[in-house]
Amino acid sequence: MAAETRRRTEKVLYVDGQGLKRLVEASLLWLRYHQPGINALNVFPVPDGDTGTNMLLTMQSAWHEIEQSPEENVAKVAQMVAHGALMGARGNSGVILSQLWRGLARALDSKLRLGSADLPQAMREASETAYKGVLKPVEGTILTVSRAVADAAEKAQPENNDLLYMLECIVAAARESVANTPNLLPVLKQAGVVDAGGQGLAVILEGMLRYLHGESLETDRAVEAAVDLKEKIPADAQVDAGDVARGYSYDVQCMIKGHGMNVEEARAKIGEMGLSTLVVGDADLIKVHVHVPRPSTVLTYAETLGRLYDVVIEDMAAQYQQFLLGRSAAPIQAPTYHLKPGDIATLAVAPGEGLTRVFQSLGTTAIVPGGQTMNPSTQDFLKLLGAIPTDKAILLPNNGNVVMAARQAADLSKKHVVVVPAKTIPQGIAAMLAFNDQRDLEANAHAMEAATRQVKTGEITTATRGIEYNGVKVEEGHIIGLLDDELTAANDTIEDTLWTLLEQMDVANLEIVTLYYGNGTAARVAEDLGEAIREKYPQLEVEIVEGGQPHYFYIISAE
Amino acid sequence: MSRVHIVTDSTAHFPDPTLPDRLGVTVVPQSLQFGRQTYREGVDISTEEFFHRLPHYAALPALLPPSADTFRDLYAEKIKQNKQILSVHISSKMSETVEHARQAADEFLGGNKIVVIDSLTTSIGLGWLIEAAAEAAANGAGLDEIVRIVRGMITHMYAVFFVEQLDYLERNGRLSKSQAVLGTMLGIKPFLTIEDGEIIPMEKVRTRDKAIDKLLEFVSEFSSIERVAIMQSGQQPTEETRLLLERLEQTFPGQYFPVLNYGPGLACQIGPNSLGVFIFEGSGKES
Repeated sequence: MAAETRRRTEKVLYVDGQGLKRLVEASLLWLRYHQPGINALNVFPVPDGDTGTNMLLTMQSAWHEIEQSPEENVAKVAQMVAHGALMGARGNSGVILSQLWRGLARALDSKLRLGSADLPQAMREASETAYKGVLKPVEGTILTVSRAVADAAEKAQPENNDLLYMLECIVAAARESVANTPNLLPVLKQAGVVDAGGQGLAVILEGMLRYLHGESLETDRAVEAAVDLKEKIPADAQVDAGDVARGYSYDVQCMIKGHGMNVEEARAKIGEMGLSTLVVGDADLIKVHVHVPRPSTVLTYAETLGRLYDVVIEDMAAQYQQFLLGRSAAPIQAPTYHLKPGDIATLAVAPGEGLTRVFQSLGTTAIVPGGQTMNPSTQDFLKLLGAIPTDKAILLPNNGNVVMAARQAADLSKKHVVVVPAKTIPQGIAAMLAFNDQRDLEANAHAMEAATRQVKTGEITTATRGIEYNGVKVEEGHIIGLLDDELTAANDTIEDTLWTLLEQMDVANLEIVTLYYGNGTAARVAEDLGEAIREKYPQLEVEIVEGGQPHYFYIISAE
Repeated sequence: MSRVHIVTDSTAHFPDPTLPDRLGVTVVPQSLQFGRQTYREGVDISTEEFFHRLPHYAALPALLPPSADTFRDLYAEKIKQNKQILSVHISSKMSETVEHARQAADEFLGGNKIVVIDSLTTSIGLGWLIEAAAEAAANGAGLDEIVRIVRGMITHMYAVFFVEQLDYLERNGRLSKSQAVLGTMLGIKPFLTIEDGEIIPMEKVRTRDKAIDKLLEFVSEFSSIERVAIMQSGQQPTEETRLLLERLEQTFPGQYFPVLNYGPGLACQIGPNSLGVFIFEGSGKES
């Protein structure tokens, strides 16, 4: 077992199944340590960068496949790793990472051990598979780094048959290639960062090298324990945790049926009682959703308006405790599928409760929780696809970084699945509106994709660092605006950024603007802002809807 | 005088309101229920009054079908006059009128010929069927011949609508409560069609321009149109109607597009603030 050798300079002639297992574990630990740093490498200074998290979760899924395995055949272990990575692939970088493993596993074919002579071909196959998995490969990304790795392996092998030496060359080449990514991809240069996915790959290889160098995994395990817990908690839980911490630990939902009720007044009253308030409806029916310290206050008031039904009270403090114990919340989805075999199911990715409700109200079959912060994995899609009682489905990723995992799931599923590449929430909603269950799958996919192009998306969040991009000067803490995923506005206040963004969206010539307010934004504040927009653009229809999304104060849809 | 007597109900809309009198068609009134009050359409309440009262009631009005007794009495009277009867009514998926008419017809024995037809439509669509049937009867066509004509037309009748107010759809079970509440918040305008007599929500849009685009797109799909009518609510052409007409006239120069106000019958199904198009493509066409 050459890989068990811990002496720094001793030659490593081959790696067997258990050796590869240790290498994977070492790379996972090293990646975990670097996760926050990789997350910070966003092109735009938005707070939801998650390449590090996505690659880590992908590797973690790979590790779980082999963790208990005594397999000594390196090819079999590589296949297990590839399968785990494929299923756990999250985000575009995770999907590409899973393709790299797939290529590597394929190159090892049925080999018992991985020797230095096999490595160049394995790395080449890995890189080529990853390139093929991307519709339009872009240089200056993880792909470029993977090719540099293959080149380095080829160059190193004739000189030396030592895997340790080869991996040293490979890591050096990966580092160099990562450093060069800004020269290949202009947006990186403008943003002053290297490519996050490329960096992730370099870290994985470096973790392996550390292991071969005999650097202790124990230290790495200690590092793992020290990593901020916050990184592992999805933002949904973080914000509820915020409300919980302030003592507003009960989540109360109910419907009030009455006559001539005043929605505005009810909203104001209930808004005073709690946080994260949603009060919507009309004179006959009001729906309430609020976080309060004591459920009785809001219910007593609601009773004075009319009859209550569908009352749900949840103790978020208990849920939060559970969450900390590592039991993740059950995915939010339609509890029953009103579908017959042959019907078309629609699966949409949505962050936040409000947006989940919006998609459900549009008839979406099931919601895959996540998106901006927590990218769903290939397997998350596959599980839902397996659960629906029909063999036709349309996937709406609603985030640019989820498209590849959705496509991978569509490829792997035995069902007839089409991905409509909606890259933002408003695009997804526009696509869902265009869905017509009287049409067949292809006609729907076509109409839905066309609908995504009819809507403009604005997003408002806080800048996580300073940057100058396309003439927009941003300081850390500034409120930035993104128009169709491009940084276009920066200002001191949410309101000023919103005005700039609305102007850039050319809303003066549009018909309808919808503001989906995030979970850090009070309903009243959003309503007031809506009123201000109506005043400034009287021709515009303005709708205010609770989105409940993390990080983003507002997601704006305009058409 | 024709031997065949044509019967319909008050949801039928006639481009020429004098047609029933002129061609001897009996129009059985539907009842409109506002809360606890019921009015017979065209007898106790006019279309104008209905739309005038609508905003003053909290509850949505409902359509109550004529009773089987009403049909029995009418059929008995016509049979006494030695008539055969063709009774054509609002779609059975929208109202129980057809069921009541059939119950009544079943009580008359063999020798008396009464045919009840489910029109699978309503409003102007039903009006066109009745017009064709009554004209054929006036020209001496027999019952079987008229039945053939009407059945032939039914499969070539199309209708699409846009709905602004979602509560009617919700009440009629075409949308769930939560869909209606959120749909209203999002300003969603569902695009509806009548298929096999049923009102089915198709895709949805959020802006008036897109709604008009969809209607235009719908009309453009027909290679031939024998009858067409724009159905609007209210008594004045609305801005939406004006825009739709303008675009239709650009796309189909020379074609005349009559604009009609739909009545309480359709309003009870899809609400008072909708805009739509009915089309009869002609019976000669393959569907």
